Amino acid sequence: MSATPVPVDIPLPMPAPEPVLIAVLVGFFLMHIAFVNFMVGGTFLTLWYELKGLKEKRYDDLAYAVSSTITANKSIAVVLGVGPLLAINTIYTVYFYTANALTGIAWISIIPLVITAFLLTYAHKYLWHRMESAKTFHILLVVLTSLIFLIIPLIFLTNINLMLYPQKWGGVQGFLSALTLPNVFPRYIHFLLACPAMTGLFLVWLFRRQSDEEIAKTGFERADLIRKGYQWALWPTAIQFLVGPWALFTLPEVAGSMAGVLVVFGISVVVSMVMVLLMANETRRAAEQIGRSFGGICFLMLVVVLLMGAGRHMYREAAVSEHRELVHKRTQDYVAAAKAARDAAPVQPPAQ
Amino acid sequence: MYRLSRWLGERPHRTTALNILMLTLLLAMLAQPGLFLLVGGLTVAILALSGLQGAFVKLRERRAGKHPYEMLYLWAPGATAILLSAFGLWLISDSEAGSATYLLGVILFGFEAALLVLLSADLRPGRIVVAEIR
Amino acid sequence: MDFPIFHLDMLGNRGLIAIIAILHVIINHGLAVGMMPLVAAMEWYGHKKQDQRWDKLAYKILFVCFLITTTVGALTGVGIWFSVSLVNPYSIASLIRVFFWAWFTEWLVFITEVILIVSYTLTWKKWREGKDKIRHIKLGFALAFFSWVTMAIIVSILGFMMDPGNWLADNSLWVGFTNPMYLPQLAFRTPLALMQAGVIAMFLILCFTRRDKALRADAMRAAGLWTMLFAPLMLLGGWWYYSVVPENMAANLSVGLLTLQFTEWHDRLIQIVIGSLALILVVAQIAIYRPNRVPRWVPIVPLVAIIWMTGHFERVREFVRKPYVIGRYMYANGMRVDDYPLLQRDGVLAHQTYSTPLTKAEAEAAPANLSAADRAALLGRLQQGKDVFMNTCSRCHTGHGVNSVTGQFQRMLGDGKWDQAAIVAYLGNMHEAQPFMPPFPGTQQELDLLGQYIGHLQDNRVPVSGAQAAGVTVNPRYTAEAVAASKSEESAK
Repeated sequence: MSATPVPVDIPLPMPAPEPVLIAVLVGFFLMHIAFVNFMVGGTFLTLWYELKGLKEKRYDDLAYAVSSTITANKSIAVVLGVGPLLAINTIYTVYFYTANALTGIAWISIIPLVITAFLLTYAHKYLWHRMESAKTFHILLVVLTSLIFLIIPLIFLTNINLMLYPQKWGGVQGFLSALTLPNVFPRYIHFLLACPAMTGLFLVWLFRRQSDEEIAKTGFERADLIRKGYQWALWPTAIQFLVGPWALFTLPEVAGSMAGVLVVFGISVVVSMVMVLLMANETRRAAEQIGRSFGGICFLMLVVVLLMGAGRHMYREAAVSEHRELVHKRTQDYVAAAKAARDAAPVQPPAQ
Repeated sequence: MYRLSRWLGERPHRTTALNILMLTLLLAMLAQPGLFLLVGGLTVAILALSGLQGAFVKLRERRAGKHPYEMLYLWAPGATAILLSAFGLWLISDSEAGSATYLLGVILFGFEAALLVLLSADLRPGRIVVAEIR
Repeated sequence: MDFPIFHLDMLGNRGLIAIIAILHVIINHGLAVGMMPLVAAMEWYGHKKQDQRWDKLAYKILFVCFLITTTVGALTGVGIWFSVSLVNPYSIASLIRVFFWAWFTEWLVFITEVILIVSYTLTWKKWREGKDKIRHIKLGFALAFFSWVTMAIIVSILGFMMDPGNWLADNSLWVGFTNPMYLPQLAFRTPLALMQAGVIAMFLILCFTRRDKALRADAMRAAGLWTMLFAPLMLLGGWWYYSVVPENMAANLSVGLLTLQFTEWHDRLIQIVIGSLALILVVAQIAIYRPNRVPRWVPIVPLVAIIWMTGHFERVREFVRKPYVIGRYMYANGMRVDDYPLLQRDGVLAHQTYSTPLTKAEAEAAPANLSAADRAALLGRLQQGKDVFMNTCSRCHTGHGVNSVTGQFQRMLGDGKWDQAAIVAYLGNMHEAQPFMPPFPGTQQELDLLGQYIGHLQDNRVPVSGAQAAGVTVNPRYTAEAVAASKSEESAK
């Protein structure tokens, strides 16, 4: 294993107290990832239903209804990502930029990849009816989009994983070597499962509030649609009870204490169990009563998500706090040395 | 030839515009920037006055509704043509005869001067009606 | 130095930012800031005249803008962040420390803008009549206003980078905002965006009104007049901007023959601006005079001119900033002015945390007839030379691609084997001959190493690799163990 580097940090003061920046980072990131879940999950569900729609027409209509939600969700997802990006650049400058540079080509290719995915999404949605006679090609559009949405999270996850382990920075050579570091893959699966789950809840919300005409266009009853939403929320979340711990216990060991992290995630597991019970109940409810627990489920999901965000942040701090002290020391030394050299050197105006 | 003269005869300003273009060509071939500036400047001045006269007539006609859009439509094209033809003349005076800038100036001047003729003709009573703000 | 060094040797690092940023500017000027007022005005007019055709046309134009701004437009915006963070993390990280709240505010405005454009587009067909319609029109004007506000904020930050005003003494956000470049740049960009939108609108109108000649005539005329309206403002704004070139940049203009290059670029910019303006006006004239006879390709011509102008404008803006990336605080190579005495005394290599290893291919072409020890020594020197190059030159130059050092030296020293002494002598005095080059931030020994490396590049044409491909080697002086040891030493004292 190669040595752990301790670079010099930017010697300028933080623009705000760190708790404020962290609140911006964690809070807005959770909002961002929720909409990313809706966008990616929406795409997967659209593909699923469009494939089912090849046999039964009304699934095609349902697919169209789901695809209509992606337009707004994707734009909100992208715009909400900027704030956390800004915050992470500020708080974890050394860590984030280092990871970016080491995975540079993959990192920058996120831009053309997402542009392509979005353009495909528009083509898929707006040419839906015009392409009725070319269904295969039409489905290909959403297949391609789905593939892109499968690749992009890997790039993000590789980056935010690499940034936590300075001891790995010297050994990484290119994106693929960073991709295979622990524990990118379990986290990736955890994220992928969250997409249909969150989208399921989103669809419950959507179909509860849509007008009767809009519901009729899907060819299903409102209660059926709501039940489908709950099923999408329930089953992936149930699998998370396996994947979550897998991701948690494969987290690489860090310098700081994991106690807080384990407590937080432990609580979230308990809350999730209650939530899953409620979801399971909902899927078995009759049409008149379905949706009654929606508020409760959303509240519990919010708690889980907040706990996830907190736990994730605590792990991050446990991973880098010690290193940050070393960086701070090195920065101080460097600034002092620079000042000493300036004072000793003859006065030279900078080149004009 | 017959078709050309018939086409020219349909609207008198077409002949004027053609004359302007031929004048421009002549001035360009003479390659005397000073002369070009003088004659070109005079031409623009005359055309500008003619256009102004037409514009004021139109203005009086439309006393009732002086909508800003209509005002813009009335003045902007002519003003732009005068400015751009002046710019063309400046390019001509500032460059070597035969150079790219000279050619650019000649084309710009010729185009704008001809356009000034056409715009002035449009302002004659009974011609194209300005986009009406009903 | 303190980040692994990302490097694109063929396109060049600046090229990456340039492509993304220029694309972004063209889209946000022409399709957002400039176009939203026009679309809102068209919708308002259609409603006022109770003429559905204007409404439909406005929607079609909006839809095209919506498709492009929410995909390429939005992602190139994020792309600027990504690319700048890769290419010059030192500068962007420093700027964020000062401008965090400005960018945060801008972001809040962006969120509002996204929500507005998404709702404006998606509710068009739903909010059709009466009160709904009026609400929709107000939404349009709100969107137009917010688009402009985001531009106003970001222009301040850009203007700051050209002239920091008092930033050196007072690193505060407000001081940065009130810098002298701000209003002139805004005064130039706003009418430019509006005129750009006018030209694009002409093109789209020609596409969308093929069957309705009367509407085409009216709409083309309107777009033409819209464009003409802002021309004088653009000219004035441009003149104001041109005349407020930061003092020390203007002083450069009198230094020797080598500033000719800068002067040429700057004068060329003026020519392109005026030429583009004239071209736009000619097209607007044609659109007004004979709207039904304009072929569809005609508006594309001024559009290409505007794209060229934007590229050139951004290029000059970047040029004028040099040798700094943050005026008088940080040079384009990412090193702070304040750090120069230390670096020039100890050397860049003494303080670098990371070394970018030579790949096998890059190390080839070293003479084969050396003993193992000599070969190892040579490779060691080449590695050091590469590190000096990466730290001090690579942010703007490549080894063999765009703006390559080999290209520069070939121009100066010809095709024969370059004389080491000549290279080193040039590099040591570069900043005096070329005012847009920063001084060399290292020792004389490092200059020699750099010279040797550049000589090696003459023989080895393999693209220089960056950390994203070659990884990094950690400087043993700055490992966690070393720093922790020095820390405990100090607390023991």
